[in-house]
Amino acid sequence: MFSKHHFAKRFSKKMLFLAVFSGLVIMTTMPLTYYYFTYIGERNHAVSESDEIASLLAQSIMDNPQLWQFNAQKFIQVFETTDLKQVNSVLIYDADGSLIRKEVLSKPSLFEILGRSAIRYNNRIYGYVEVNHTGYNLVYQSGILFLMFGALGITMGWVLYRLPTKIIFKAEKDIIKAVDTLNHMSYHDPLTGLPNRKKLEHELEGIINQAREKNLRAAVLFIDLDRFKIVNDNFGHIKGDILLKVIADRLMSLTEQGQVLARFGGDEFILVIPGVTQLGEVQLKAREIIDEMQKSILVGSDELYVSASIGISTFPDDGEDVSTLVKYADQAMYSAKEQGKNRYVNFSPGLGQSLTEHYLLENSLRKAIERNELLVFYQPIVDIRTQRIIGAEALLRWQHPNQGLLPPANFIHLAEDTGQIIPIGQWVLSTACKQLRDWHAAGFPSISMSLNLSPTQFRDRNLVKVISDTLKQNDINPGQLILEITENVSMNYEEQFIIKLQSLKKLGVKVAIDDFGKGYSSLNYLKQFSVDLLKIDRSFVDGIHNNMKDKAIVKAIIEMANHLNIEVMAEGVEYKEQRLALEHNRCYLMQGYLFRGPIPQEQFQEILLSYSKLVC
Amino acid sequence: MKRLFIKFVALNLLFSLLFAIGCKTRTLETSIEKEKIGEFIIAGSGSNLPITSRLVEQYNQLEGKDAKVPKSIGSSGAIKAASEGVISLGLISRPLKQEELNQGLKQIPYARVGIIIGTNSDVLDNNITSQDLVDIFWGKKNRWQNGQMIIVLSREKGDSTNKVLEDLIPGFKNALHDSLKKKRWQVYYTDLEESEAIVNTPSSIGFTDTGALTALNLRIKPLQVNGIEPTIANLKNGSYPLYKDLFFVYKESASEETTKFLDFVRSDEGQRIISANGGIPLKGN
Repeated sequence: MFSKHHFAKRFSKKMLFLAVFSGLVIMTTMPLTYYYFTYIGERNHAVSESDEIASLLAQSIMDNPQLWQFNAQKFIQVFETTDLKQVNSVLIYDADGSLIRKEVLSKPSLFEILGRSAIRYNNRIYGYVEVNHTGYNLVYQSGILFLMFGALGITMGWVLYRLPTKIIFKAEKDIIKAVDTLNHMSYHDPLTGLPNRKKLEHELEGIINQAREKNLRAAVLFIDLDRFKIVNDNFGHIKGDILLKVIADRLMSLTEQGQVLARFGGDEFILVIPGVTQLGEVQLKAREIIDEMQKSILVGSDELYVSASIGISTFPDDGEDVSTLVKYADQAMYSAKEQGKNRYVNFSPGLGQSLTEHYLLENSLRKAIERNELLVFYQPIVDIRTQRIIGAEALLRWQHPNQGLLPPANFIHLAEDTGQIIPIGQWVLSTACKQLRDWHAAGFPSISMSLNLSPTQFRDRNLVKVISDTLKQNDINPGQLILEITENVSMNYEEQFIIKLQSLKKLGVKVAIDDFGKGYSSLNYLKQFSVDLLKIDRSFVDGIHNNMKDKAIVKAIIEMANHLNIEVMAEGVEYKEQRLALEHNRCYLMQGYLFRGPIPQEQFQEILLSYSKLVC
Repeated sequence: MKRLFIKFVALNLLFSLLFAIGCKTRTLETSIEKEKIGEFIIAGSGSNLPITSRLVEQYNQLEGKDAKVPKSIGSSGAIKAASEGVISLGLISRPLKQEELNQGLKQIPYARVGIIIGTNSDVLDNNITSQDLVDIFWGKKNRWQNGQMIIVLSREKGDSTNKVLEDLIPGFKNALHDSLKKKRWQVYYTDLEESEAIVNTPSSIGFTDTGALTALNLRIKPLQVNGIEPTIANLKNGSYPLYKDLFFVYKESASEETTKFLDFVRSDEGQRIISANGGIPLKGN
């Protein structure tokens, strides 16, 4: 820490010496100079008076050399005829130094100025005259001067001392403040004002040491917000920051005396609870936090919802140092996410293993594109009226080196969480478009290509440009590309959704609503925007031949689509009865295992080449 | 802050004080051998000198002695010198005070002289009243009858003549003291200086006595006081009140030389000399 007032104090000490010295010079120089010269003048005056008296007395000696010292009248004459205004007393001594006469003219003063002369006659010394001038005036005037210059000296000295000292103290105070601010900044998160990671580690270290000494337990709660990324991407960083602040405030309100709350990373917070006696307390706190996080947050006009996943590690059960405890709490948090988010998980050694696998998978996924491990399978889309393949849906597969062929369900969430969905999505788009170009070139110009867009992809700002560029590169008619989005894509950000949809429509590509009827349905955008295709969710198709409700719903969807002039397609068609029921209800576009499941492009091409009609 | 300020002031003051203290001076003493007087010396008041000088001259001549009479050292100088044994015989024109008597001094009155209020010989006035004298010293009367400016020649405070006039002329004391204080008139400090000044200063007025006037044959015009001439006869019959007695003073017991001289003064010859020089002989014990 910065040593407070260290420099200023030293400076102040030095200035004190300088100020005292300067004050002394000012307060003494003038009075002493005045005193010295006036004293010399007065002394000379006294000497000239004693000279005059001595010379007058010399006449008396001339008259009466033997008895001059008894001639009182002569003394009186001398005293009365000589101007002795400032003289206190005149003392006349004989040659031996014995006092002959003392003439006191005024009250003796404490300080006198002496003038002394010998009484000479005929080359002999007969005695001495001492004239004592009063030093009162000199002392008085010098005193007045001393007081004046003393006041001036003290004032000047004081100013000389205080002014620079004050400035230095102020400057140092500012520096200390700046240093403190810097210190605070380096130990605190500027957005929420909470301690940052560095500070947390320091505090946690202290809490661990204390817990070790007192034989207590301590808990680390690793809190990560679920779906924060969505909010940030949809509403922008400003609103995201506001949300974080609100979350931080809420967490702070739940933080009790002695506990430490820190912002660990983007949407990660850590709460350290010292002095834990029962794990139940910690779990209670975790529950409290989860409940608090679920409450809606009003940011501007938007009502936002987030939840939190919490991982808990405890000292000394799970680890005895900062990094281990944080790492395990982090792992437990990941586990909570894995288990469906919005929950807390206590660390257990088994978690480590599964999380290690998780991390390995994440790393492998990063390299999957480079290693050409990703594949696109294609599932035919059939028009039942013509019995022909009219298009293909591109479906992603991962040929994992160890785990074999993985469906998207096994890794697409990971890709979403890590942001890899964007490059992967672009790769799929590019691959599918190249494939479509090849098929067109091979003599199947009417085939269209359907692609699934995840919410994250849909929110990608570059989406429209990337699609446009890819279509141009592959010389594909935009009308032959169908982008499938789920209804949930539009959730929470209808405005942006509409804008993005408009842009895509402008480009000329077709838009299909995937899994229609399953999720968050807004019929409003069906009205407002020309969606090209509705894909009836497989859950309705499943029961269409034997479930009246499913049948009714499917019928209603088809009816609605027909009336809105939107094409309708059924997915997940597996049985002939289903096909017939759909056909009966005037739904002619179908997709499902009844025709073909997702297959590699070679097989798909074979089907195209071998069969222009799919027998079913 | 307050304590610091007080410290600051105190420190400054302390240093200044120490600095200022170094400025006091001391006297230097030089010793010179004192001359011893071993002669028969008769010295003292100027009033005594004219008559006494005549006595000593005659005594020296008759007895073949070398007694000396130096210039005036005043009555107090004579008392001091006699009491210290520096002179054999002192001359005083006022009686000893009690404290002086207590010092073991003895006084012998030997002559009475009339105090003369005299003028320069050019002054036409013959008479002066007591009031005139007071007015002159106050400065109220400043011209003689012929219109000439009066020049006052005063004596110092404590002079034996002044003492007599202060006692006998009402208002004179205040007028004199005021004039001395305001330095109104020229002041002389010996009888001889005063007499010579009167002689040499036209239109002047001052004091002398019958002894000096006679013995020194001074060209001073004595004024009648309130119409009474300052003559020996008027002194003797008491009509002229202004006089002073002259004394010898010596430290008991008197030396042989002193006794011899005093005997001479008491002798007929001595008495004659006193009378011949404007004094009335007084036979003291």
